[in-house]
Amino acid sequence: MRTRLRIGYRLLPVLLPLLWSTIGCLSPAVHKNVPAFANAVTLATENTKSAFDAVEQQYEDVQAERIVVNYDKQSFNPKMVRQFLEPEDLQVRLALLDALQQYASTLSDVSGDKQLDQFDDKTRAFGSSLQALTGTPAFQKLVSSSAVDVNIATTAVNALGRWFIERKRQQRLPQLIGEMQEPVRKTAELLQADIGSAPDEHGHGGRGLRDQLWNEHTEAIVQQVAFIDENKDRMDPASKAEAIKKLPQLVRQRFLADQALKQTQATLAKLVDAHSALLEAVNSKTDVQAEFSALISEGQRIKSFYDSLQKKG
Amino acid sequence: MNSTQQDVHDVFGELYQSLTDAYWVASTITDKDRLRGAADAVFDIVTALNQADIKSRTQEYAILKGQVGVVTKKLTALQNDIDSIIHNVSVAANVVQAIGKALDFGGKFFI
Repeated sequence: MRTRLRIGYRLLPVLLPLLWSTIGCLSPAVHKNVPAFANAVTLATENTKSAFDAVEQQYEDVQAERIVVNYDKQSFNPKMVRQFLEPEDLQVRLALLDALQQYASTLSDVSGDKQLDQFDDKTRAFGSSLQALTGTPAFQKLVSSSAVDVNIATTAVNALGRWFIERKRQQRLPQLIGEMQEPVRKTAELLQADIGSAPDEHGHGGRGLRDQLWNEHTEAIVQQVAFIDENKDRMDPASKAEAIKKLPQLVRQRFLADQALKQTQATLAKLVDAHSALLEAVNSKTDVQAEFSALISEGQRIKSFYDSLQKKG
Repeated sequence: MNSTQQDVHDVFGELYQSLTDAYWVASTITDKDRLRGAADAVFDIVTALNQADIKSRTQEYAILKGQVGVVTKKLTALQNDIDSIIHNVSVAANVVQAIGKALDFGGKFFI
């Protein structure tokens, strides 16, 4: 019996990983690519919010400058102050990006090691309970044959349980990630359309936030020139110089603001790339070398788990 | 923005560009004021076109959010399925402990 049990123990690292070979090793590949996607979502969220905020703030500034220049002729009316977009237009966009972050977070949890570590802990606790049970005199009186190696049984439960967990992941993750590819692509497409493009030198081709921000900055330059023209005879030389110096600064700010929105469009493309990498990780053909390495790793893991039970016992 | 909407946008975009170009080179305050007034009005029209364009996509975002929510729910269900496997082992450990206690208790009286 002891010889048979020793043989059984030696065969464990071979037999149990063979179970693993029937399902492969999807989760680590997925889990490795999730942080890049999660970071891309965070970046897209921050940049999108900044883009809308920049346009709203500049719109507010332009209205204020217009009121200053036109005050002597038009006085002031609260209706002169408007928002570029309704708050709900921005909120619904941020809500979608928030939903994508929630998806990335859940995917990270499902594909990661946390649940497997919890399972290992619970299996060890089960093994300890079983060990305690077989050690009781009352149990030994009830069971006539020699005590089964509890640690072998516990290790088998652990390996089988992990196999079931990984099998569930294998069955469901590829499909779920596949279902998300189109929403991610469409999200990036919509946000890129929102950001749009700046007008060319003839005023053509402009649309979206870039067009709006470019025109708002142009309006700011016009209002600044108008302010100088209206007041230049009353300004002291220093103030006049300061006001005129602002003009080339406003031209540069217009260029930099547009570049920032253009950069936001680039981060949105990265969002799609990062999720495509996830999809590729789940759909790639079996890499024999990787599968063999995974088999060896699983065999080593099982042995380590078994040895940890021996130490506790 | 489809091609017709873009064409309309380009007409006003070109007009705004022409008016501001003329403004930079205008020599009298009267001409400048007139050009600035016209440019302000065209800016407001182009702003309205940009607002409408952005608003036109708002509903699509709401629909996408729903779709993302559905997939996330399925992921959570998978997570719960895995949790139930972990829970079953925990229950098994509790059952074994209870058996041990029962045997120990019974042994004092019956064995």
